[in-house]
Amino acid sequence: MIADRLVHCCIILLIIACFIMPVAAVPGPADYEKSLQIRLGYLDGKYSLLSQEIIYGKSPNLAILSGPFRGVITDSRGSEIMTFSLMDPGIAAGESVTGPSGTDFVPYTERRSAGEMSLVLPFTQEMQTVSLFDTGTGSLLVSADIQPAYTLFCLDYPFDPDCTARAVARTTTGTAPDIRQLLVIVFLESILVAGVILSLTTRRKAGQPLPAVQQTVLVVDDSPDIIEIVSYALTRKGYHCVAASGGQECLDFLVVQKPDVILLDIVMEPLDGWSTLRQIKKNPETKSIPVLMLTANKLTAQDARHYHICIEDYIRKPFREEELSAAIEQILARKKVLRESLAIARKAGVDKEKFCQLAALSTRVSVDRKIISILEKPDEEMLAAGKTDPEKMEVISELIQNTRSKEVQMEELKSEIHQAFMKKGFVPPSW
Amino acid sequence: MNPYTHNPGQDSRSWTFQICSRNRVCIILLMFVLASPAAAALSDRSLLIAVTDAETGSGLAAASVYIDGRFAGETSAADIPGTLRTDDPQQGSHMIRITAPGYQSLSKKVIFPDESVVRIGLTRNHLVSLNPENKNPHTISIIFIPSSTYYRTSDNSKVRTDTYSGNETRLREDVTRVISAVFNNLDRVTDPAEPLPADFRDRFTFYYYFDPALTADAFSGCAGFVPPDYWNSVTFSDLTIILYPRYEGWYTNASSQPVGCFMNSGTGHSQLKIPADRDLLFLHEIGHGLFGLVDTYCGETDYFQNDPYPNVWSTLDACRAGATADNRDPSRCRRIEQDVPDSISCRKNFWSWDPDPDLMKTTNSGTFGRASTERIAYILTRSGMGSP
Repeated sequence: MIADRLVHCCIILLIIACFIMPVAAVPGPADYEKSLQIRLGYLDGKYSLLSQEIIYGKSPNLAILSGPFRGVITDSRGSEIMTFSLMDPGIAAGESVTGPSGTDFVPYTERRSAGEMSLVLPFTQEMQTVSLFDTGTGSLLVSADIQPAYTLFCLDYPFDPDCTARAVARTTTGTAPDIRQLLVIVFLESILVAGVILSLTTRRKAGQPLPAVQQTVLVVDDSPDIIEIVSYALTRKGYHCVAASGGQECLDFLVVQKPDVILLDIVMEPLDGWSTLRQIKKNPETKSIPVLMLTANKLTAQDARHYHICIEDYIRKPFREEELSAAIEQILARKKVLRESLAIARKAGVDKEKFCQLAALSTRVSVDRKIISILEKPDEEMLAAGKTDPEKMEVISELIQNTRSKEVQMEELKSEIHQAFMKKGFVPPSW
Repeated sequence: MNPYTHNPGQDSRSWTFQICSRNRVCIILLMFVLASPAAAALSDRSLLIAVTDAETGSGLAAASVYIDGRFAGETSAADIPGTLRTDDPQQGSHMIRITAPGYQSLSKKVIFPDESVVRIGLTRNHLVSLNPENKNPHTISIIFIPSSTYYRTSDNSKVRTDTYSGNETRLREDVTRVISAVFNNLDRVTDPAEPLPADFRDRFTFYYYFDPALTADAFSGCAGFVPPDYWNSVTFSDLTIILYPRYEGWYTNASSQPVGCFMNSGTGHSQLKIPADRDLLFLHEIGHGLFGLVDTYCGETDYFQNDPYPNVWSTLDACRAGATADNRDPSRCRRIEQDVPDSISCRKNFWSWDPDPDLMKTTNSGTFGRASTERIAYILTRSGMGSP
């Protein structure tokens, strides 16, 4: 076993050495230069943020600017990463000429108390806030948090290097890892990179095309065969699969990487799927990762009662390939709609908490309806024995009641949020 | 037990998985079946991107294609020119961005597989580089945009003209002459005691923007008006110069429009207007617009101490201290003031050092004095640093 792993490591290192280095050294024609464009309004010396946007393109040379205003760009820790000067935007200074041969200047100054100004700045990942000060009075004129613009940009261009780097940074932020953790990160990242390279090589050899977008699915199962089959099926669908052979291994993995979806087997030793699920949902860093339960066992009324709020879907083995990928696609689509709509909701001025509450209710209602339909399916063994399951009936009734009350809450929130969207001219999301 | 069974009536992908334990043969067999030509054929879905010149409709080869922000390749020069096929993209919406030299880049959202063939027409770039050979990465980008108006003092009116908007050659000739007479001559109008960087001419990149349908108006407001669409295509502009062919006559009364004017509406949004035939006034205006110099004549203009390396100080002591520090004669510091005939005397609480004739004071002759030159040299040196 250890020898096998050593051989695998050597192969991975060899692949990295042979393939990554030369590829990385070849300069590509890609141009990812971006600028941050902030539009400000001013009225009687008061400045306000009108809009901000990150776009592809070059920026002006800030080093040559001068004037009584000072712009300061800070990172997330509040440290200055760039400063620049600029003129008061309300003043236009000009000259006419007079005299017999136009020897003297006649000044012409136009002062505006209201108008707009733009800041076009070279975009860097570290940027967090842009502030404008009047050096004459020392007062802060306006400050803009650029993260919403960054989020919106990454919704459109998720695979731009600045967006992929941001995603990596987000998953690795937190307490500084110790050497052991770093080694684990390096090792796991090597495996991931090697996996991608292997996948690319295999596809190239087979003459198969490359997927344009890949999302990571963590498959947790104590059966290597299931991992292999599920991974193979999902890889064919364009997903990037990583595996953990048990509950604890899954939790260890989540310390260093956050997948887009977790497929979690229930019957595992020593830490079963439900206990693993509890740990995942207890941890603030992992609780938002959608979990799809995968099991050969029937969903019991007790499990449904305890865990229905923690799961995104429930699939029974044996399952069809389409069933599995459709469930994952639905989860990811829901996540994407939420992400995109949240960004627009911010623009529309919708209260974030209310919006997230509606999104959570919508997910819960949809999952609970599915759980109800699973529970409502007749149990052949019980039918054959002429028995009924009172607990099951009770749970179904609870879930139905619960779902109906959530639907009422949903309708109220939906109407309020839809109105806010429509007011600002945005199309409301479909829930 | 067979690890999987094929349900009759379903396609090759509709396998029902029956999980067996530790049967490697099953896996291998499954892989063979799933990788069969039939399965491959079913998954053969691709997105074809066809990039054309919007005007001529001909295919554009070597255009860079980005999908969702990731570089996907360049459009083909062979086979079907201007196309790029990307295989097996994920279903859903994708943002496609196309860039091509000489064309305006374009982003378009497509939904795959609803749109499996995407045609994108790129519009030619209206921006013409005048010194493309300059590969200096940190330069000062100066863009000339033609005005569709000029001014006449005899009746104080702006007059429409197609001198530039209808004649790209004339625009190019006038821009080229101005560059040669003004920018390339900076070493002749500055004080040699404060030498400019030896390669100062390479610190500029010049462009003109020519689109007959999109011109500026030099006489809408002091510094003129530039259409908003212009700014979107020149995000890197350090200074936009609205060039108009002539200013007829001299200032007659307060209703006359200014000949030249500068305004800064933020980074990337600096603009000045100037006629093509008044080089000294041109130098005075770029003194403001490019080098941050302040007027040294006395009048109703905007004064401030333009640190660092100012040419105007807010106190006499500051002026003297600056002069001493720079080995200039501090006794030359003088107040900005002027006796205006038949009027009240003009007197400001600001001081200057540069001797007359000073280009920031008078329009018919003179040079930039040593203090102004020091600031010009400072800005030119900083231009090489890029963004601070």
